[in-house]
Amino acid sequence: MKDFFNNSDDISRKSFLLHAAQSTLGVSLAPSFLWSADDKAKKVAAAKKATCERVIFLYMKGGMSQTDTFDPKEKASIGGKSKPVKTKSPELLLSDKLPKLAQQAMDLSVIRSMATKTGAHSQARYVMHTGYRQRTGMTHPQLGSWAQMFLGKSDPILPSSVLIASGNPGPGFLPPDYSPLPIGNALRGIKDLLPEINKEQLNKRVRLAQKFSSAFSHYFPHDDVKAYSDFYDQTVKFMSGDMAEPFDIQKEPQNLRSKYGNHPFGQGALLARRLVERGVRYVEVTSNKSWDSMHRGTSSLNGLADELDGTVSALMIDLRNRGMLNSTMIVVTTEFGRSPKVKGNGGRDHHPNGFSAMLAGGGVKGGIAVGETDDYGKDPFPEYEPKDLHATIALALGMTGTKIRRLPGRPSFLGGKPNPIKEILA
Amino acid sequence: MTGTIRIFFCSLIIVLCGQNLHSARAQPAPFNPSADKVDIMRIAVGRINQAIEKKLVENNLTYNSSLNDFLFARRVYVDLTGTIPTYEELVNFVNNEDKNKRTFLVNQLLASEGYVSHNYNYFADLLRIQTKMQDRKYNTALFTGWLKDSIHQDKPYNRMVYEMVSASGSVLENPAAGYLLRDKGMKLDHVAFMTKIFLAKDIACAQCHNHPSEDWTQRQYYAFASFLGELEIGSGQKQKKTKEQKMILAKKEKLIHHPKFRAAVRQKYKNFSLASRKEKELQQEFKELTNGTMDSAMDNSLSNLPLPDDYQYEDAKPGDLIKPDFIVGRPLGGSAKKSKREQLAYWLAHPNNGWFSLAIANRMWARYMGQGVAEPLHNVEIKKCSNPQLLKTLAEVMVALDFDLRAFSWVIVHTQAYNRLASRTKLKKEEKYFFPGPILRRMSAEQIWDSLVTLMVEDPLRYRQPAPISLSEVRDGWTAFHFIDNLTDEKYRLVDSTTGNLVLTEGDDDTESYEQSIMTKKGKKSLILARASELPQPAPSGHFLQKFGQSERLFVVGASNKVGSVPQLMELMNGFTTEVLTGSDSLIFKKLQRISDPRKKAEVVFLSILNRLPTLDEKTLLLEEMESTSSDDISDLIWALLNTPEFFFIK
Repeated sequence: MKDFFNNSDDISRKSFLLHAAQSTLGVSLAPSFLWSADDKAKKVAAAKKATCERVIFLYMKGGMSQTDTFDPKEKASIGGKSKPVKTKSPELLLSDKLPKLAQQAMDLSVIRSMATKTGAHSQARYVMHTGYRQRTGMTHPQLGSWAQMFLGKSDPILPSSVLIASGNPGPGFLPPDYSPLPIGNALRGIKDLLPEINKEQLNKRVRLAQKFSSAFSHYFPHDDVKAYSDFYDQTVKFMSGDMAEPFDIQKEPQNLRSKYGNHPFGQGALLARRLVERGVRYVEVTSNKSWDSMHRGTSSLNGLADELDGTVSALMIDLRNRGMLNSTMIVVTTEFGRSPKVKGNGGRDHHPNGFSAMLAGGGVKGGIAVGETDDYGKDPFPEYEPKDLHATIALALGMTGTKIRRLPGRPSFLGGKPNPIKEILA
Repeated sequence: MTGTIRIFFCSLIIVLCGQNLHSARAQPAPFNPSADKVDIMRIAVGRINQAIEKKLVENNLTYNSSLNDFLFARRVYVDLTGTIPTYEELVNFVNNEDKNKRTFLVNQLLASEGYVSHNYNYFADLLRIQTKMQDRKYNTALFTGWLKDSIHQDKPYNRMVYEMVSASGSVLENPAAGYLLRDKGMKLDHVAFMTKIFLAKDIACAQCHNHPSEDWTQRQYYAFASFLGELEIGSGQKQKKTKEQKMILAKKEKLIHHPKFRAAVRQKYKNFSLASRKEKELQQEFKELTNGTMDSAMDNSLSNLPLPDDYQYEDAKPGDLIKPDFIVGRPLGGSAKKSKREQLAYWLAHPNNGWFSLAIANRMWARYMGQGVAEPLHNVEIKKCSNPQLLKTLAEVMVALDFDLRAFSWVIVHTQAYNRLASRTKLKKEEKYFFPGPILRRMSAEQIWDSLVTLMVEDPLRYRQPAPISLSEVRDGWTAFHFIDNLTDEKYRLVDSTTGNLVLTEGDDDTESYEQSIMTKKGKKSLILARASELPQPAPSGHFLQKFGQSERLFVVGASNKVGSVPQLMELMNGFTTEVLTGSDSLIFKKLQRISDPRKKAEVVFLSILNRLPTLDEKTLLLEEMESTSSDDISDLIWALLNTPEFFFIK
């Protein structure tokens, strides 16, 4: 399937979006009549076992430094500009660069012993998004697509997964119906996906087409024909801009928007909250700033930490206020960490062995750290790989092992043997 | 357009600078079965009718309504040639008063170029062919060329399968080897695909473990896979060339130093220093590629396929070698064959291999009726199907016709069930279907695209990919050049099949380098107006074909789809293809220019797109909605008819 990664550097380019959205869009905006009994049944079954209904996957791109965020160290040569401080949770120390998240510590937990076998950005990014190493000739699905596969569509109209300013492998080898909807810029919503049309001409033509279709539809009251008619209606609505509302963050109060942060990541997280509130199951948002800038030193650290700290804490507070925190899992992760030992210029290199992820809400036990690295930030124990993180999210969503079906000839979900990190779930 | 019967003359390849490669537009073999074969075909039709009628009676059902000439013509054109008929073809057929015209039409279509193009798409999909897999070690064009030729020459299907499974060498010596070469490095997966396609048995799960609810054990899987145990795919192998082969190759190598080789290089690369450089490069490539740097499929008696290290069952130990054994059916002789692989090919293609004939007969039935007698097509359980007698009859007919797929198609198209309107409602899950008619189905992505090409250009198959030259065809400097040029130039190209001229090369941005009729451009949007069989496969991401569900060519099952989607409909409503069709430069507009009566204009649009006349209600509607027949109104009408489901469903 199409690799959305190729354009992640300049995701707001209109033509890419239009094309990518057009290749994934409407099957995810399927009409209500296709919301089958199958989907409803899956949803009910999952609800019984699930602790969370939706996931907001926040991807801090470029390799987030764990020492400066979720796994701070005392030693000055390791800790660098950051040091550990107490938080609202007695068991959890975070870096002093995350003061707002410190206040939220009772509701979040960290995994400190993440490891991935590659230190190359695009390979590691692929593994973090799919749980698999890249294989030639095939692309694996992203987590939201798997969730749709096992749990059915989360909403009759809205897509089940959405990507905001994110490149990710998309549905992989799953059919196009499982594609996430890509949105480049939270401020523009889906405006960029709407083609330029002459509304009057379109309406006239659609009317004509409907009149000429009626004899055929009448003679063939066939499900496939009805499906096409419904798709037409949806397409016309979509092309006329009628579906833009859930994607329109201008409708959110200005003060709330400011709390999230007036930058693409903040506004993206706000849009994510808006979408999951309206029925989207899985939204990924990528950070605006890249942690890769830490190669060169610490000048970017404050900006990077602020983006993370301000937005994630605002999101947690907002969800809590709406009574949604318990059923919405927030995942903060990255492709690998940064080297514990600070370089001469104050910067840090890639560090795939012993980095951190943060989880909050959606059945996550709050205020604890799972797994650890030593005083030097090395030797992660017990080692957890990206697929274990996925397994944890999947378990919380109700995607239990025995129900995971094999698709003929394709790799199964998480290799068929998911290993969730049970300690982090309540 | 005068329909598909033309007379072409094979032109001699004139040895001159600047002559063209493909001046010959050879006609496919005419459909002219012997009197005996026709008898078999007619009896077959009768037996199939009988088998279906028995079930219909048992279940208190009757056949659906019969087809009028319009419906019949659209159906057979789409099913046999992959595109709707043109206005002229349709009108000629309808106006023909001969009582045997339907059979004549079928015979004509079976012998058409459209049949070859359409059937190529079918097999390319089934065999997961990817034309982009070009690299110096494997060249798909030689394999797809072989496939097109096989269909063109009406090669029996079992012969085709035998040639593919038993092929040895590289695609240079044996183009059919492309079938095995495509799955280099995935032997076990290849076995799973093979059984799905040729035996209608899905044993994929057993690759890794015994499956409780299926009949297959992992040991059986490996026993069957062991027929390919000696197969090795790689390059630089010590292929034992005979003295004669070495002599022939030496002769051909001399040709690359012939003046005509240089002349051909200069013709392509106008710049002198570039041409000199290219000449040396191509000479070098020629030597390397013909001397073993291409991937070959070879059998090595010292190679084998042992059980994996994590084999966990009691019936054998990890690393054991299992004696080759057939997964279904029984041995059919052929043990005298030299290699295990040839034994497998022999067994597969044997007329007494009931599963082999059943698998293809059922697949062919599904092509024309929308659904197999047994489903799914890749894993048939005879007792579960709705009409075991029909299934058995179809398999027997396939064998009786010696796997002649054209004759088999003729038979299906002459059955009562086929000559009926499609069933009006969708089957419920697990509901048995007794074929009172075909099921209502959407055209495949390729059929829809090809139909639009028919609406856009006079001669949809005029522009084609150049046919590759095989090593055996190299006989002078000029053919030597084209042989190595085709092998090494990985750019997508199109030639005009009536003149042989190169008309398009991938990456052409210069608007003068191609004719308006083969590619149309507007700003950044462009469309190559060639049929799907001549476009890269799978089509590039975002292409009309991909939006309408063309397979990505990775899997056999569920790979292509006919699911509707908003992006698909947005393409149809607002895409460049529709823009071209509804624009005043389109073929349909040009045809309408000659007509002055507005009612007649509307009729032509209906006949062209929906292949029928407007009903009385529709005529009234046309009068109301279209005050004039300005070109805007005609545009709107064309748009409206393209955007009704009736256009892309087969009634």
